[in-house]
Amino acid sequence: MRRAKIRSFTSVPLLLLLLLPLAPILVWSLANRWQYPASWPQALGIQGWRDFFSVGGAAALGHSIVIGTFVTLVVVPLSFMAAAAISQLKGWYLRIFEGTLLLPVLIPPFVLVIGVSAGAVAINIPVGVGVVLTLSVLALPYATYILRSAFTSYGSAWEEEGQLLGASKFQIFIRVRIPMLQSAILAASLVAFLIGWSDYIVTLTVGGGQILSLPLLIGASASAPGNDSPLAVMSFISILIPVLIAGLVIFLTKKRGEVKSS
Amino acid sequence: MRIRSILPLLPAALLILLVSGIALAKTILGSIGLWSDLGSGPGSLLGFHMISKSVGSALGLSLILASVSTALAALLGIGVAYLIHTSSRWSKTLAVVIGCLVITPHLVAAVSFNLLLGDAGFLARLLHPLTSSWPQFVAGPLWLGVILDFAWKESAFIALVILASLPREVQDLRLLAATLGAKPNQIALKVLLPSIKPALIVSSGLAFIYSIGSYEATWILGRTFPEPLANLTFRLFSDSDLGQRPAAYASAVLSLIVIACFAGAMAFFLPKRVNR
Repeated sequence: MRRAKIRSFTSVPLLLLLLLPLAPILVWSLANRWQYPASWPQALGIQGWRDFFSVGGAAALGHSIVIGTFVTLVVVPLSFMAAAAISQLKGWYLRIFEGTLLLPVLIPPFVLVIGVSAGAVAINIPVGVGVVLTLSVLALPYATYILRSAFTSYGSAWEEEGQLLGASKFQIFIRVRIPMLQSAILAASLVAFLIGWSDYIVTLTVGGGQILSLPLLIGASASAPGNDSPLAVMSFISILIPVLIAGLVIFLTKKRGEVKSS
Repeated sequence: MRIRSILPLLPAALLILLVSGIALAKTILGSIGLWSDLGSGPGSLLGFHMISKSVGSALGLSLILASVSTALAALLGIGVAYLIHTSSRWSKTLAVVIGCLVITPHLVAAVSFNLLLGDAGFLARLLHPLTSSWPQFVAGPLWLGVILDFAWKESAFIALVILASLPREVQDLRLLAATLGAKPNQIALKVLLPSIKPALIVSSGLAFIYSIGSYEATWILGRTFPEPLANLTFRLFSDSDLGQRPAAYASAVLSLIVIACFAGAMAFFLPKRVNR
């Protein structure tokens, strides 16, 4: 009983400590005027939101969604196939492919981008394609890891049952495998989207300044003084969209769990 | 049979090998002058000579920042994971919060720490009546803003990896140890810590590698001089003078060597069960 109380007393300050760095974003996003050293804004309002839209925030938001979506569309099928195959491998084959999948985790992003941007110029690929492919490479290890764990714990009994009942390979894939792995596919999609959504350095360098995404707008605003309110709005949106998507993923996963158990 | 079974792997593996291969080839060959941005020329170590004066401080700073922030993140991550695992009243809320922290972009984390800890930041304003001078968290000599930002962001990742890897029987082992008279600190050291060791090594190692390669937080919250390896590399690469490129590639190669040595050491220290 005493220990449970101690845990509760430790949890609350820890929770506040973890949430504290996000507090300024909330307050500044609704501050029309906040002169130092006042402890609270002199005027609250939505000027920061107006400034966000006037500096091209809507377009940047759209670009980020498009980048995240394309990265997801490239990564999910590739990582799904890779995870299905890797879960069946053993010995040297397994080690070689595990090592290959680890490469993007071990190469720092700035090394990847300076090599890719110079290489992309040399072989003349469109910047958008270069950005999406580089980000897909960064996302592939994580998405494959998530799906591989799901494949490892996924038994083939349901597929065998389907075969016995005369289902074709395609029907088994669509009606058994995809629904059974739906949670892992959603989680891998979320991770792939997040890597595309939150990237700064790849879009800046490989994109050559031609694609203005939300992180690039944040970077530009952060390097100039006096932008605290629109900067807070951009940061707030950067967190809000992934949180909403993650919430949707959890909701869909839980809903599926309820359907399965009923 | 073998070839058929690895065919589905090939698109992902080839994409990774193609992009990483171009990046590594350009960086390594560029550092020794064999793939120059100013046309092909004879190989030379000019890039390494160009960074010889600044690379020592850059490397030292990167290693210190990564080590201190990873150690703090590991401690905080273990604490958070422990509180969630032991089912305190707040464990669900804590789990939601660390989930939100993990999906917060690194750039946004750096911006929020700047708004929190800067000279005219949120805390400086709140505590202004109590203190006349605010410590230099941002762009200060101790790089405290960068360290706290890395520790905060990576602690959530470490906690999440630890929680995801905890075997189901740990709860039973804890109860068994308690029934046999083990004290809470004995249970933590002899039951929980060995269970989380592989996940702790892997997640802390990844956090360390990320910190070495991270650019955004040190750019927003750090000083312009001395600069960490990632910032040195990126500044040299972004210079309008293409003559600086060999130095950028040389600096990038050094980062790769540091990370390769660290990854090798990490693989060596992993328990055999994990390190197949």
